[in-house]
Amino acid sequence: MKLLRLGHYYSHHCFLPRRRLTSTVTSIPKICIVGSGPASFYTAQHLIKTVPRVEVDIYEQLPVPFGLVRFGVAPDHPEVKNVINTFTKTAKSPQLRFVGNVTLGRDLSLKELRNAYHAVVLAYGADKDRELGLKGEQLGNVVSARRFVGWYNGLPCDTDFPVNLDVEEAAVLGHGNVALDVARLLLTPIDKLKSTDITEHALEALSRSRVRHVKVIGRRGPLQVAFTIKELREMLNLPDCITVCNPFDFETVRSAVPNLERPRRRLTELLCKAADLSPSGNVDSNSRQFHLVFFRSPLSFQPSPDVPDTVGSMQLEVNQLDEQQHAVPTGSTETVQCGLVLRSIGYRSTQADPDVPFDIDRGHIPNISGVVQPGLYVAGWLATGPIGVILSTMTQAFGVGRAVEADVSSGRVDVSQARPGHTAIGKLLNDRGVTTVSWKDWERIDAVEQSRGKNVGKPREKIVDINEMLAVSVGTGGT
Amino acid sequence: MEGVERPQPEAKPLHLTSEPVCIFLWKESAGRNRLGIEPGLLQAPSTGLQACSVRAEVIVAMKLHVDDTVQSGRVEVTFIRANGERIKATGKEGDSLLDIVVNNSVDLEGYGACEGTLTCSTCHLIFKKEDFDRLPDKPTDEELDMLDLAYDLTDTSRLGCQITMTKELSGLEVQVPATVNDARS
Repeated sequence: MKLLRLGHYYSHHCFLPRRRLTSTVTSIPKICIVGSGPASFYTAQHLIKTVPRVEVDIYEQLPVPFGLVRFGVAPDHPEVKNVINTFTKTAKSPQLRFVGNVTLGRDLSLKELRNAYHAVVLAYGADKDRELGLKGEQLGNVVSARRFVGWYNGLPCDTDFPVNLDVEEAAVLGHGNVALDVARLLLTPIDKLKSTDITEHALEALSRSRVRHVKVIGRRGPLQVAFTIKELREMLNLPDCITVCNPFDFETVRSAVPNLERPRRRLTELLCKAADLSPSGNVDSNSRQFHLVFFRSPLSFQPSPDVPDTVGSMQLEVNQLDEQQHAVPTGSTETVQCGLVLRSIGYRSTQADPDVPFDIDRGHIPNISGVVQPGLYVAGWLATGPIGVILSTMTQAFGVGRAVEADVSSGRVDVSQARPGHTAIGKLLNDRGVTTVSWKDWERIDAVEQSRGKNVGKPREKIVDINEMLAVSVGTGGT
Repeated sequence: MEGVERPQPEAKPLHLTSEPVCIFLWKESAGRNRLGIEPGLLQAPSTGLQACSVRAEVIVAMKLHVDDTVQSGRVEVTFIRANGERIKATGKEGDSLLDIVVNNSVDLEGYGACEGTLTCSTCHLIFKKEDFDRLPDKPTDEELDMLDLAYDLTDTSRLGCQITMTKELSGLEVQVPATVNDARS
């Protein structure tokens, strides 16, 4: 290696200005990413493609990769998870190292990462949810939709999530895709879920569920919904399930349709169609029903007369829209029966380490196109807030990759001095007794999950216990 | 680093369509190579033998008789990036435009994330009006649903995974929207 460099020097030195010499001995750019969801893998993919000789290390809190692709995407949407194939290709690059079971702020500090790497990209997502702060919110069965999703998708911390499905009436607060995901899971015939990678404990609980009516409640109207048309169409096409809307909610909507941009227009047309098909008069109460409820905000939750520490009903405020399309109360209220309330009003991020610049009000890291400052970047929901589909995250993450590449090639991030990267961090983790999971270790977990799934006709049976993941990762956890 | 070309993948296998008559070596440039053959052809996928490794920036080897496009069933598509760069690729009748991107290793970052299962819109392409009108299959509701999530949506947008190539469509030119791809422009 040394000989080669010398040869290079002697063959060029008489033609090149002396400072160019340093560029021929530039150290390897070392970049780490915290988190291993779509934002992380798409950033890594772009960096490996554009930054010559770069080494990218991904640190993930859990022993398993892929973030919300594994723990967020609904089990009955397996096609969406095909992105894992591309992520796996990236992970197998010799320029990428996966280090699982490492938590920023507990096992490592941001300062340590910034000292060890030329650049740090934070992409640990949004893993907390917003609360309403209403009377009765602490009652049993008033729960977070995010944790319900974690429960059926095998997020280790949500395995013992306390949810009781022995009720007929459920309400979901929020008009986003997570709200429709949980409503769909509650109303889908159980046979359709058996062949998915839904966790065994959720499948078992859902097979005994008595939930028949799900009200999905939003504070504004049909023109303001945040869910996307594909998820709505799925709800309307659910077998043995009736969609119920209030036709009065659509009075002013139809006249607005022609002036809408195409995506909003098609979504609104489909909502109007659902309203047209909605049964008028009494609906057979034995049928499964999906109610789309507009212009209602929760005010308080009341205990069930039978089980006093559990929710039994909810008081709603009736809203109308002002000129800025904000929901304002009309003054009238109504009460709906519900033995289960799923709160789905948005995710928020947390400040993983005191050195992470964090906007607590907005629940994200302030940034300009992913740049926090040269050398520190933020990708995905931690940067944008919890909005958009994988495409939006991919586009943002590629943008972060471009920003890092531009800072490295322009010298705003100085890569002329070598950084120890994983050599230093690996030693720190080892000294602190942290068991880490490599990509090879994850492949062992993956193989065991797939083989367990095969036995029960599922694509995989997810391991939900961290200790078991760790045991399987070193080949001692059975098959 | 300005002015330096994007680094190419280390090495990829080159598939030939039939027994090579004779192997020539030449340097591939951004546009046409020394033999005047479009680079897209060099990567033409087929059942043929694997000839050698290709280091795209440096040297490629290929047989002399490169006449695959006139072979029956071959189709040609040009992908145009927002920065005007034209990428010619070939496939066979029945291939989707996504197949052609994948089989030719056309460098469109993030293209086809869901692998053609109609659950994302990363294979969004924009057609000329006259081409859009002559596409044999009209978009389904499900395709339109995904397209509605795409950036730079136009009236002549389609998802590449839903367009099946026919002989009549050979020579098609399609625009790749800037926001998904063309990261460097």
